[in-house]
Amino acid sequence: MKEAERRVNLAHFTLWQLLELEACTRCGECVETCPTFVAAGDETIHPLTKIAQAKRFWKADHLGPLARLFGLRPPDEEERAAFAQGVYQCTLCAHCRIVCPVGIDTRPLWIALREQLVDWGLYPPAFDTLRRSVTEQHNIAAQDNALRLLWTENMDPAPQGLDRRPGAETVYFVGCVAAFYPRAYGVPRSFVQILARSGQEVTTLGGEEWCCGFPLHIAGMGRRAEALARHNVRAVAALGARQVVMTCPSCYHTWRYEYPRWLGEPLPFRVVHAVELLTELLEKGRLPPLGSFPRRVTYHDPCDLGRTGGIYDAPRRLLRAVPDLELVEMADNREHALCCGGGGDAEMGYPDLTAAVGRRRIAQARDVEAQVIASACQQCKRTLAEAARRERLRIRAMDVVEILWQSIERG
Amino acid sequence: MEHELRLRIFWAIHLLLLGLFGLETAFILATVLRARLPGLPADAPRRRKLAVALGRGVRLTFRHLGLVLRALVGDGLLHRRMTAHRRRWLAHLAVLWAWLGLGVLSITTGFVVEILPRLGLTPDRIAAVPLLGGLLHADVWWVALLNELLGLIALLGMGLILYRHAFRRESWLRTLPGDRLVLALLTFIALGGFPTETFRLLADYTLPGGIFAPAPALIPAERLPPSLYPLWGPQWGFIGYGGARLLAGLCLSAQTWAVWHNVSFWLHFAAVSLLLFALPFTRFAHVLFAPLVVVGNRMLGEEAR
Repeated sequence: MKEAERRVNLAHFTLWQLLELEACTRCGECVETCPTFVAAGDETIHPLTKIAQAKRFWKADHLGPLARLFGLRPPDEEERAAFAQGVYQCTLCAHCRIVCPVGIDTRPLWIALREQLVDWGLYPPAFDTLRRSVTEQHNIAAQDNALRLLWTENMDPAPQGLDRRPGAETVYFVGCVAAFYPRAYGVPRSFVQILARSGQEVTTLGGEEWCCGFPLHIAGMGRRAEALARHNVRAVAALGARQVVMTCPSCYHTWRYEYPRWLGEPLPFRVVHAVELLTELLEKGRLPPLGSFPRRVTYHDPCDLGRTGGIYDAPRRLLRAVPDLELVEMADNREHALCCGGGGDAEMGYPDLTAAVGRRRIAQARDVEAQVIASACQQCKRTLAEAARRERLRIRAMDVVEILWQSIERG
Repeated sequence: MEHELRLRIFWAIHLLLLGLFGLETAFILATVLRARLPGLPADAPRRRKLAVALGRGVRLTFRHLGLVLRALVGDGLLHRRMTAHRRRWLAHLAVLWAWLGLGVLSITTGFVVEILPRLGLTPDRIAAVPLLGGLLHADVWWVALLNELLGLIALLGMGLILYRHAFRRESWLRTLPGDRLVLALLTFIALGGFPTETFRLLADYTLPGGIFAPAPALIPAERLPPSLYPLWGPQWGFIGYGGARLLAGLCLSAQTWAVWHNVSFWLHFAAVSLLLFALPFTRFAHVLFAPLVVVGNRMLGEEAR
C-alpha cells in the first residue's frame, strides 16, 4: 500500500464527526452498555477505545510533528488490525449513542470508520462474498433474484397481484432475509395475508426488488449501495404506489433515512414500517377481528426500529390489542433494549461473539417468564430463536405480524 | 517598577503564546476542513466549507434559540446527564464552575487593572466604579475571599477526580497516559495558585529586617488607592494569608520573597500555557467541544424530527 493510501482519508468523515471525536470525554458510560464488549471483554471493541484510536490515527497522519510532540504516532500494522477487529465486532446497536452524555451520534461514526478500513483492506473476508453477491445477484443470499417470491408458494390462498401490480396503493419491500431464508418466510406470508384481509391493495417488486443496500452500507462499502437505491426507488415509482412498507427494520431505516441522503432528494412516496401501517389500520378499525392468543409475550425492540427509528409504541399497541395476550417488559427495554447480536454484519465475521450477545438478551426474556419473545425484525427473530435453542429455553421467537396473523386466524 | 516590568514581560509572553495557540488552532481547523460537509462535494474548497458550516450553524442556532439555551444550561453548566454518578458529577461541577469563576474573575481583573487606566481613568476613579473597582487589588477582602474559595473548590474537584482515577476506579473508567498529563497539570495549576499568593503577600508586606507586617499603606497608591483601604483585607484569602504568616517566621527579605513569587508565578503561568497547547491533543479538548456537540446534536435531532 502506498504511503498516501495508508493515511486516514478524512473524506470518509463529516466535519461534525471530527468534532464529535473531540467532544468525547472518555467518561466510559458507553463501556458497560456495549453488548459485544460485555460478551467478549476485549478492550478494542468498546466505543471509548474506538474513538480514542480514531482520534489518534487521524491526528498522527495529518498533524505531523505537532501530533508527535504530544505523543501521537501513526498506528503500526498490528494496531490497525486490532482496531479493525474492534470496529467490525460492533453490532451497530447504537446503545452507546443513547447513554453518551454528549449525545455523540456513534453509529454513523462506526460506519465511517468501516469505510476507512475498507480502504485499508482490513475487513472480514466474508464481506467480499457479500459485496459480490449484492452487486451481482442483487441479494445477500447469492441466489437467483428472480426467486424472490418463493415464499408465496404453498400459501393457501396466495393473495393476488403480488408480483409488480401497477397501481397498487402499497408496495411491500420484502427484504433479502424474508425472501430467501425459509425460516423467515412466516413474516412476509403473515403480513401480506393481514393486508389482504384488511382490504389493502398490496404488491411487491418481485424479481425487480434489489437488496436495499444496508448490508453494504454498514460494511463500509456504501458507495456501491447507491445504484441499488436508485434502482429500487425507480421500481416503486414506476408502479405508481403511494407508499412502500417493510417488515425489515434495516430496510426501513435505509429507505427512510439513507436513500434521501444518498440520492440527494426526498422520495416521491411514503416509507413506513409494517408495525406503523398495521397500527394505523387498527386505529381506523380496518383490521379483521382478532382472536385469542393466550401467551405471556415480551417485546424485543430491534435497534433499527427503536433506537435509530424512534418506533417503540406501535408494536406494543398491536400486541396489547390481541385478546388474552399478556405483554411483559424485559429489564432493559425501549431505547435501552439489549442488542440481539444480529446487527452490524458482525455475525458474518464473529458468530460466536454475536451468539453470546443473543444469549444475554434471551436470558432477560427467561427472567420475565415469557413464553414468546416478539420482535418486528426477522433478523432479531432468527438470532433470538437460535439463542433460545442454544440455551434450551422453551421461548418461541416470533414476529409481531406472525402473532397478529395467528390472532386473526382465530378471530 | 519591578511590578510593572513583570507585567510587561507577562503580557509580551502571554500574547506571543496566544498567537502561537491561534496558529495551532488554525492549522488543526484547516486540517479538519478536509472532512466532508453534507451537501458539498468532498473536495470543495476549505474556505467554502467553513463559510457554509458557519452559515448553517448560525441559522440553526437562531431557529432553536430556546433549545440552545436549555442545552447549554442543563447539559453544559449543570451536567444533568451525569447526576446518576454523584461523585463524578460533583467533581465535574466543582472543576467547571471553579475554573469558569476564576477565568471570569481573572479576565475582569485584567480589564480593570490593564485597560481602564489606559482609557485615562485614575486609580481613584477606577476604585469608585461599583463592584469593578474592588478588582483593582487582590487584597480587597471580597476579591481575596472569592479567589480563595474558587481555588479551593477547584482543588477539591481535582482531588475528587484524582481519587476516582487512583483509588476508587469505576469499572468503566479508562485512564490513558495523556490523561495523566492533563490531570497533573490541572492539579499543579490548582495547587500552585496558593503558594503564588503566599509569596506575593510576603513580597508586598515584608518590612526591612524580614518582618511581615501587612498594612494597606505598603502598597503603592496607583495599585491600591486610599479609597480602597476600608475594603482592604488580605486575611480573607485565608490559605495564602495563613501560609504567609507561617513562612514569615523565616524572616527572609522582601526581595527574596519577590524572587520566590516570580518563580512560583512563572511556573503557574507555564503550566497554564502548556495545558492550553496540549488541549487539542488530550481528552481535555472536551471542555470546548462537548458543549458544542451537545447543542449541535440537539438541534440536528430537532431538525430531523
